[in-house]
Amino acid sequence: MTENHKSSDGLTETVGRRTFLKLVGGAAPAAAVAACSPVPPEQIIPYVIPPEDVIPGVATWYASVCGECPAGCGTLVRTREGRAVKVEGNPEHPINRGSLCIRGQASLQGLYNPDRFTGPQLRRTTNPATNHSVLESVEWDEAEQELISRIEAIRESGQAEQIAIVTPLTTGALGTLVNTWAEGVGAKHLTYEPFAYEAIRAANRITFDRNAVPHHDFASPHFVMSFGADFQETWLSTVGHTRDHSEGRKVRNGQKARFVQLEPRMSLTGANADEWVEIRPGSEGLLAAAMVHTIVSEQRVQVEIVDEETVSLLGQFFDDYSPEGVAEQTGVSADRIRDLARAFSNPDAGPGQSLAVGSGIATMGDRATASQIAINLLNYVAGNIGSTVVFGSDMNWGEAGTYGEMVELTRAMKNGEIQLLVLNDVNPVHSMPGEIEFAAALKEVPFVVSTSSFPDETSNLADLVLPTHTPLERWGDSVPIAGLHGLMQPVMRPIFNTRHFGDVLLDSARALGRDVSAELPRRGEFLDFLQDRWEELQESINARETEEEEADLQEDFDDFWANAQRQGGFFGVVETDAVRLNPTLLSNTLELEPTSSDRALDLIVYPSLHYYDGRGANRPWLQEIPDPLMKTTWASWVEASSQTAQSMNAQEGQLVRLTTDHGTVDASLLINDQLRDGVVAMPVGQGHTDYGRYADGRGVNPLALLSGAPEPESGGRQWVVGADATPLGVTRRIPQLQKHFDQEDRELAQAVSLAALAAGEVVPEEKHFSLSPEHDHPVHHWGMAIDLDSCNGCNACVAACYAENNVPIVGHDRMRQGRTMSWLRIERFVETHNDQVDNRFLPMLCQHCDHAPCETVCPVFATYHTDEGLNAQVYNRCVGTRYCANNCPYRVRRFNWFQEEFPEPMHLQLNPDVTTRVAGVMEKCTFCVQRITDGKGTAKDENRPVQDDDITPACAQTCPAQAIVFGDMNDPESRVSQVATDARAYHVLGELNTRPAVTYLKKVTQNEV
Amino acid sequence: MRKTKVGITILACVVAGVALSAFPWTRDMFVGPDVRPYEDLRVPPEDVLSIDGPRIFGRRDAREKLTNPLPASPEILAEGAEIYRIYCTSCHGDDGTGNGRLVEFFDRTEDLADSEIQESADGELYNTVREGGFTMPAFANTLSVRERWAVIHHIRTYDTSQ
Repeated sequence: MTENHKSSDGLTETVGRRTFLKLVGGAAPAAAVAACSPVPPEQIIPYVIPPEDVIPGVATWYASVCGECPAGCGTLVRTREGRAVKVEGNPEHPINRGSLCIRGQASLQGLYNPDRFTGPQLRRTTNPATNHSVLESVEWDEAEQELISRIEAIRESGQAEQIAIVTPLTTGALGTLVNTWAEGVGAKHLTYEPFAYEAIRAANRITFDRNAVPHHDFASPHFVMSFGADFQETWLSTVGHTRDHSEGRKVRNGQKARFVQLEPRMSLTGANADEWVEIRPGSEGLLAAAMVHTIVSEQRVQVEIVDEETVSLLGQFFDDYSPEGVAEQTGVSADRIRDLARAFSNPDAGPGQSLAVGSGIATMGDRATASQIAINLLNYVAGNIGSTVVFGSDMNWGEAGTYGEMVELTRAMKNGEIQLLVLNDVNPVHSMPGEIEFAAALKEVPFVVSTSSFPDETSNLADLVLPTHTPLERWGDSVPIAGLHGLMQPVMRPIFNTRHFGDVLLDSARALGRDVSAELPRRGEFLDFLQDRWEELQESINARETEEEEADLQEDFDDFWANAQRQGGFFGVVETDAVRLNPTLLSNTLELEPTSSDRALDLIVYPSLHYYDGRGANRPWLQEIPDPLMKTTWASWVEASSQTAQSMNAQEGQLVRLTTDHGTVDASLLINDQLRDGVVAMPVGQGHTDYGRYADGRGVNPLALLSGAPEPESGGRQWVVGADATPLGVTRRIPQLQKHFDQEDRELAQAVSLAALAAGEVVPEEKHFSLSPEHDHPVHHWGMAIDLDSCNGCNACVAACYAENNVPIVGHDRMRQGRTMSWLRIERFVETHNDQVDNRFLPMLCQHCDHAPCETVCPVFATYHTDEGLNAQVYNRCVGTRYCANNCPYRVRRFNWFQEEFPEPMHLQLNPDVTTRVAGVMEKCTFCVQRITDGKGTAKDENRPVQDDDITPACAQTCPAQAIVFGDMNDPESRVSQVATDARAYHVLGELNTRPAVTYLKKVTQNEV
Repeated sequence: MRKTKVGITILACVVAGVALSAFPWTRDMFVGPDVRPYEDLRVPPEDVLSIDGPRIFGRRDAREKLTNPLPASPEILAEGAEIYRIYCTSCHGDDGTGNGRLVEFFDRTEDLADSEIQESADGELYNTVREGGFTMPAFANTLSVRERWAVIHHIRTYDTSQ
């Protein structure tokens, strides 16, 4: 085509050079833009009938109860458009007062677990020749009918006692319903908790005639001694205990409550103690006895409480246990025992100033009950019973069954004495010792029903699966302590085709006839049954109130119910009971000396902060977040001290074969020098074979090594056993995010001794001169203060951060390469002074430096400083040079090398207020900027300045130790400003002069630093 | 020449391959795996109550138990009038007589001065505002509880019987 070619008819214009260029110049970018930005069509669907509480885009909060362990903490659940997106503690609930542990935070991943049962399943034989069968989906009517007809057949043959139902510790209405159902059917009912604290109950029965677990007050005593009770991890009610203990250990008038932990392996609780005494496994009772001996012989008994006759009886009772006598067996010197005893009971200070707790899972041996009796008597002579150990407001553990009952059930199953077994939310195939062979016993039961929400080792062997709702989807209530009634509301509709276990029980009872359902309402769902129980509760409260003057009557049930729904329950007060010593106890003898095994080592199987008894293993956050002490992920291991490892000729990372009288497992060796020589330790909870994609194939199950025999006195399990270890010469390294715990003199986590603090001799932080201009913070200057004296390293904040900020998980393989996406990590450092181990936990997050090294190196201005002092990151500007991460001295920036996946329905959990990042961008802590925006909006709506309570980042909100404070540093009255002026304040790597917005307070140690 | 052609073809294939592999070529983070408002609206479970949720009454209970917590002060009446102007005038009209702009689309719109309406209890009016009526839409997630009560005070000003 030539330039000056003209059309002959004049109607069609030829494209000339200039037109061509014009067209190309205009069209090419347009075409490029059109081709490169495929905007997919989107549909928005409004509510046809808008629900009262839901405004799209605005969060709705429901009060409920956490169902992850029997502690019964109250929760507030944030929902968006009918989806649960975050779980937080309920500030109104007396147990946890707004805090929540790592397991509670991760309960969302139980709700949204992609491996959940999607509906009822029935086992059908596919090949009769090979006896091969599979679980197939059925309808609910058919599934329930199958259960009913099976029960009917057994009852008609008059063998109703051959039906058994096993539930976890269930208080409240569901517990009542299960009992009524079992009585109506004539079935056995067992309450099974792997951690059931049988020894505490048995010892209290023997010592005080109370088969109960009392309330322990950790807030007021000046001296807490824990004989292996890991009360900051799994022991009874961890969040409540941690909260109390942290409050009670604050430095006041130059004094700090003393805390001594006695255990062979330093637990996380022990890591927070002032003194860790590494006693021999199983010798807790001997040590407590020697302390009582000392208190009695040195006339330090609290005579206001204990009469003279009892004192002399106690003297005789513990006559054989002099400190010198037990020094050899406990591994603790006589002088140290005397010192502890003198500090524990001081007649001048008066009774009830101390607290001794015992029977942590890891220390339960064959003398567990006797040891707990000695600890009870120690509390008794110090006058603690009734003041720091309170009966009356008993914990719900008293209602749990014992391990011995489960062993008996297994025996009956093997003998063919059980024809139908209903297992509700328990996984005994995994959580019973391997020696018991629960799986084999299940095969002898003709019909096994599981109501588990998840496929697990037990439900995969069931003949009928009736999946129940997860706690976030169901109605229920919980009575963790007498007088406290938590109300569990469903916070969203069931995601899958599941059914409330209570409704299954009600349906089946009604179908089985009036003789079964005589005690149950004729119609209505479980919710109606629950409301009936609460109506009874209201009546009993009114009956009690009427007796008192100024009665506070709850007139209208609807109001009472609505208030309970809003508050998360009804929290009454229970009068405490005085208990007296069982007079026959002191005329008997106590066998405290542990039986020794002929194996070379002692094995301790310790409970896991993350997985509890193993039920948490299918929550990826719990797998991904490093173990609080060993900083390992996605694995299990065996720990030994350097000397023990040397004596068995094994290197770290090597596979070691552990052999006991009961079984054998292989696990990778980790060196842990906070472990007594001659002892090896393994965490419980891993080693699943059928518990979903996140749990399967992770580590080994140490329960295979344990004795199946219950402890005779209490029927509890024995978690300590003799073992031999042989290295296999194969190296299997496990992912570990912190390889050593030495600060290398960098003074990252600092400490000050109590004496220096009291004398005002804290070395102040050096001030540095800077050439850079200062930032202007005209309105707000957000800052954070973290008290290292309170922080106990429990990882709850890390899980809260994962949940709030859509932080992806990277998985086992990439973690072994050292990768992580966590915005907040807790670093652990171990210092040793005069043989006393000093653990320091340092929560490390973006420091939001005023002179941030990352900001100056970003070529595209993706990270910059806001005028509120935040170090902001604009994801869409980021081109992924990673200069900022290289220049960050705190190593808190994370780069998305991969596009992370959120398998359905996990994506429903993602916080819609936070961008989910794609591959190729840098991300890091934002101080929960979405909450800052929200809090500023609330204050503006209410036409007032921003206050402290308006904005709380997820980590500070959940902290059980209340170590984190957040606020506006421009406001001199704000909590964070007050805390930051403390004498202990310092900044991590302050010598770099980055001017961080995060202030740390030095840990306070009883000893010299 | 042939070599050049082959070279160009290979180069084009490589460029096209790289370009296609990066499809979609731009990816902002506005659309992600997280669920945005109006994308997947779920209805909360029945009978639950949020921490600051108002109790919901049936018609009879509403008459007896629900009373207007707000005083009929000038400020509240002004607030109610403003809410009425925004949400109600299109049907009920500027003067409450039911002659709003949309009246032609409906068989009838209520005259708020009607004795049937003015004689019903505050609680009943509240329920109607919350749940809607015959043709009236529900205002449960449009108006806050306070706004509902304020507008009820305003509706009472149309009472001609006094």
